[in-house]
Amino acid sequence: MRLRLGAVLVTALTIGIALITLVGLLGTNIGPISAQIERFGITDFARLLLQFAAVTAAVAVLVGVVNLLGVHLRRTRRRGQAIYSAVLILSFVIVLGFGILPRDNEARAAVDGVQIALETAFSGLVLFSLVYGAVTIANRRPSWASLLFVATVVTVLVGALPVRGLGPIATVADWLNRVPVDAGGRAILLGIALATVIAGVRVLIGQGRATRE
Amino acid sequence: MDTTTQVLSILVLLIGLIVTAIVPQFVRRRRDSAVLRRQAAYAAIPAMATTAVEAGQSMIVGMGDAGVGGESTLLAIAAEAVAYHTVAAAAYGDRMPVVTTSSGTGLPLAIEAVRAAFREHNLPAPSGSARWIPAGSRSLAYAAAMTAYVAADRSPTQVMVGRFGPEIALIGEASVRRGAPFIGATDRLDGQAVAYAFSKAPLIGEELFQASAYLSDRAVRRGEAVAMDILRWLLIAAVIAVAAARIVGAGG
Repeated sequence: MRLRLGAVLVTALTIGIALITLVGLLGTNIGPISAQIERFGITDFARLLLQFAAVTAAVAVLVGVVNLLGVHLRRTRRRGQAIYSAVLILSFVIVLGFGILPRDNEARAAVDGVQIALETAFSGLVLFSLVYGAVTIANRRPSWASLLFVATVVTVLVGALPVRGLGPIATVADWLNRVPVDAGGRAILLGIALATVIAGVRVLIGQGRATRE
Repeated sequence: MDTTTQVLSILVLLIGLIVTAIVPQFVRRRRDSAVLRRQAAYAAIPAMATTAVEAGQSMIVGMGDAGVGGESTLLAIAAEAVAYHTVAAAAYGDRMPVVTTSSGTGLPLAIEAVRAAFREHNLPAPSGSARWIPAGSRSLAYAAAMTAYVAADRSPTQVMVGRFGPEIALIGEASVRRGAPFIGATDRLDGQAVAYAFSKAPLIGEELFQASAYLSDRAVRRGEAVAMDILRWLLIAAVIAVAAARIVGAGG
């Protein structure tokens, strides 16, 4: 079997840092072991590593922003797409200016006036999309599971209506939310948590694709 | 974190470590010992890629807001695995596959997924295949941008796997309305319910993390799926045991 030195180093570094961080985070308040972990400065070193990770992430975002601006600057020379890129660059400069030279919290006003307004409009579209999805699912995948899905959605929506005479449906909707929906939700979350543990262990023992290949 | 939670966390990690370290090695030695249950979404992805390549359409993978450095790190790694296998399946097409993310720290993973997928086929990785749409976390603006891809890119095949909220409905609806295949999965319950409604084949919960087991031919990866199944049964047994102990305790 041929081993590449670079891959071995990356794997060793990944495993080492992951183990130190894990021990530093989990090894507090558990009796005499914690004292040893504190004594060797592992907790502090783990915190330092986490700070490095946060700084690296921030720098990655900064690099991404610079790269994005570069791409859009180049696009301003192309026909057809230039207007969108120009608007993006102009918006960036204006919002950056609001941030650097604040007078009356204009950056907040920009978010409230543009971002929130747009997202609210999209939220309305999401509702239509959800209804469309509920209608099409029965047509595309006619199965017991699909029918149950649609029936549940209809029951919960009708149960939420503030109309007299829908008491029994509201009771069923409430029971659906409290029992099967809650149980199913917990089952999905437990499954995701379990898979996260396995994925974490895989990285920890150097079996992740990024470190292995 | 209190002591009980810490001890339980260490115990879970230890059990996970032991099972994940041993079972894949056992499966690797006895290749026929692991038969995975059928997973419709992972069976559909290569077929969707082939159809997209033959039809001259592009394949778009979205990782949502999953990125490195926060609590979504492992989800981002799982999403990267899906992106890698999907791009690898569609790498030979005339239209280049695209991997998008709304997280700045997810971009390196998207770039790596594209590079690794093209490297596997000894093809040069195209520039611009990994795209960052800086629209914020769980953003409707990101979803809106993805719907624009559907309109502009002649109904591309879409695989949205990562962190999404109910806004995934916008992307799913745009795909389904144009008859484009769509598969969605997320770790958020509200987003998952919506993704299920629109997906060509369902991908739910922990299945999101098993892409390499189903889409690669490596026995070790299959072994990890078997390890997860074993841990799942252990978890079920633990839940039943705790519930039974509480019922007995309440009765006594």
